[in-house]
Amino acid sequence: MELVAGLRDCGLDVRPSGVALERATETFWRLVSAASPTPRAAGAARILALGRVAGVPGFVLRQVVDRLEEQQAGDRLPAVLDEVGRIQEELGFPALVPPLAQIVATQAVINTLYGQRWRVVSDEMRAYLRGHYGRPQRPVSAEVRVLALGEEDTRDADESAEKTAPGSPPKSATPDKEVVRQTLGELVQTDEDLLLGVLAPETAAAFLARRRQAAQLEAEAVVPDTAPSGQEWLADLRGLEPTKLRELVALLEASNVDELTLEHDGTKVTLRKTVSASGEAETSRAGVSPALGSDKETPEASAAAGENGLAISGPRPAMEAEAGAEAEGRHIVRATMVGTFYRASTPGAAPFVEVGQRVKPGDVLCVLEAMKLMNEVVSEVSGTVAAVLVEDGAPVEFGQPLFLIDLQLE
Amino acid sequence: MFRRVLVANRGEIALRVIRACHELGIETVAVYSTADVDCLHVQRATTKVCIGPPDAARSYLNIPSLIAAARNTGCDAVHPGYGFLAENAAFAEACENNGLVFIGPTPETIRQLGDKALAKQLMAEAGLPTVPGSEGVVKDLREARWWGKKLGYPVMLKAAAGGGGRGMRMVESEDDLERQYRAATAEAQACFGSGDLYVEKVIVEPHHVEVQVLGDGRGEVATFTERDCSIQRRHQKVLEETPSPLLGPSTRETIQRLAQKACASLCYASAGTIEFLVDRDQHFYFMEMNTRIQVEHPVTEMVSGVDLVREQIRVAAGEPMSTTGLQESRGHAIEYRINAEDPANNFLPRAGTISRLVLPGGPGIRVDTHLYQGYKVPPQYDSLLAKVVVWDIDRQSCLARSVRCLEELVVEGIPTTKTLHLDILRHPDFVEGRYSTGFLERLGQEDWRGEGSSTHREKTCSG
Repeated sequence: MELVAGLRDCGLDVRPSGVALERATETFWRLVSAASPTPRAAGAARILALGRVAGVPGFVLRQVVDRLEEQQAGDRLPAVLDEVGRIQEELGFPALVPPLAQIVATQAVINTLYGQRWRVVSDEMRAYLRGHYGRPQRPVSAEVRVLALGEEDTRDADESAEKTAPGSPPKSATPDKEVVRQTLGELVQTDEDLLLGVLAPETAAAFLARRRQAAQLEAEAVVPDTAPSGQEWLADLRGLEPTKLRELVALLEASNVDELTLEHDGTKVTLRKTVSASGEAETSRAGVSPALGSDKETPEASAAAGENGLAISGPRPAMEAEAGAEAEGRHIVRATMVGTFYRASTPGAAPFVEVGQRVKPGDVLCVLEAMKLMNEVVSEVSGTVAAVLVEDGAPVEFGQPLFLIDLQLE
Repeated sequence: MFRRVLVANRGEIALRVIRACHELGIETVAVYSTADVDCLHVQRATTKVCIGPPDAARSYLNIPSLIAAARNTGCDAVHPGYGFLAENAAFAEACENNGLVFIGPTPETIRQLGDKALAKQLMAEAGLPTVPGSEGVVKDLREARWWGKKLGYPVMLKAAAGGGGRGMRMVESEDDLERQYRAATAEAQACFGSGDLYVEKVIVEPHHVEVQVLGDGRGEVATFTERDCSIQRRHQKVLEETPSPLLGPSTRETIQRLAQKACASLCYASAGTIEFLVDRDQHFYFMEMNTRIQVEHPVTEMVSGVDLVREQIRVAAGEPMSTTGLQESRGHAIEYRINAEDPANNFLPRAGTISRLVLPGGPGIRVDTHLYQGYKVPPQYDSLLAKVVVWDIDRQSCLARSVRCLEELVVEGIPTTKTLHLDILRHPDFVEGRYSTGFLERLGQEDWRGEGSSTHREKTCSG
């Protein structure tokens, strides 16, 4: 959507159409279905693909998907993503980064499910519309403001907005930059970071911390039901042309998964994405190897796979990658045993926790079931649930990250 | 045949089972604790599941975790290996109750033969001579004293729930009985959960001889040429050979026939080993039965040509055994256990990184190991690193080949018992086949050194 705004600024008339969006996603869907081990994995990959096209980051997408699934409205996802585009335009094209990404995503879900746009508005959205997040480069739609805030509030907001220049900081006091530097400490790495701290003091700290983990978070999130290698696969890899492989590689790179092994009829392709401790995804070499006993190896496939390395793997303890997360004040809750992960005490019941929920030590976060015995996993820390990393009903192994909790800032 | 098997073990035996499965076209699931992330069995299996922290009680012994791992990965069977939960009837039962075939005997058999006092009774009923002793558990000290008098000292106090050389205390004379009795009861209670003891006559200078069996659970039983495992340090086997240099052909046949009869009467399923004590005059007595595949199974495989783990899997999958009855053997095989222990330091177990590894080769050599160069041996588990198994046409040739083979073996980075084996191989008593379970202890006490092959002096072998 930023691309759309940019192109418009250049004077081009850009009209993102739902149809074009749909077509793009269908292409991805076809490609991904062909490479997916199960319909469920294909579904998950499709969601990622849709999100990527709409410019919605993975972790926000997850929340959107969760919300929709709770409402049993998973099929509305394309409509919600369309709505995301529409809202972005109406809000003046703010960048879809936290916290705005969540705010916009939530509003998109609400707008879609309620049938009447801007009938229900979250407090954070109201704050944005009042200008508390600063003034975006493009004007916020006046109609939307009236719809969301009501007549009076809009007038107040307009007055204060007139006093401020475009792109200027919010109306709360502008802090001194040295104070900001001291407060944020290590989180400030560049002048831009400092500027952010000055412009948006309330949210800069959280944003800067989360930004460092954004890529890491994507690496840690687990695609549900990723099958172990050796199961039946649909792709006929011997016929896989280099261009197809490149598309697959690009798709996987954009996704949350780390390692993919495809094996079919004597040929095996492994694509592995290595995540370094800092959270940046590095591409590493891929291997196309003959499976046990076979010596069929397509030279084109090896050449193509050799250029990029990507992989999809099942859940793993991820012991190194979390060092970064924990250092940034984020606590990882891990599985204490092998079992099946459930978000609620019984099927259909409300989940123990939701993203954004405050938790304290002793609060039950989820249950892990093994041999019909339910074992509660409780929080050991105080904080806010930042992310749920495993799908409801998915198998987990010992040490697997389940939740991310933002520790209470003292 | 199974589609996927969970291997509920680690290290070399897990690798062994994985290999047998893959040869049968069966997929495997390796389980590992966080300390075993780099273990070879994890790398070789089709897929893997982390089941817990390094502490075995919370990982390899954690029944719910293992069952959950098997279910989550779609396994249809579980192989327990040896040690850990291999002879745990509750685990076998948990597998069955959760739709998983346990590759081993039935839970009932495991339970019966796991109770060492009951096992003795059952085997006696099946016609096996047993070590003279109390028939079953002794109620109290008074009864123990009665038996001590009857059998004649020295006697052995053994934990009914023990086994594998643990939970045994020697009582030299009646004066010593009360003290040893109380200590043995407390120890047994702490280690095995039951303070029940039984009393046995001590067989002086025995050979520890065992018979490998394989049953299909319906009365068909195959028995194999016996293994001699007398070379032990603190009741832990150091090396094993087959056939035993002690047994004559008629004893050999008798012992196998009786083993077959006993197992057939129990309708024994899967692999197992019946252990005997054999005295100088070739009188043999049933000691205990192990209802699992054993560490030293390779020597039997080498002389018989039968893949015992494969047979276990086939039997568990309902297929017939590929052979039955008394098995022929050809040649002589010896297994040397290479442990991460320092012979120069009273066999202190060590952990560390294998900086250099060169495995021996050539005809008749088999090495079962999870080692690789660069592997970090974790400290939490037993010290067995590798089993070097040597086969040759007769015992004398086998000994010569063993020396050649062990000299080729290079393991650097941590001390190992390689030098101990070379010392044993050079000892005239061992070469003559004249040894018993007291061999190593005496070796330590003699002022004898190997030909510069090890740094151990007198007393390093003392138990």
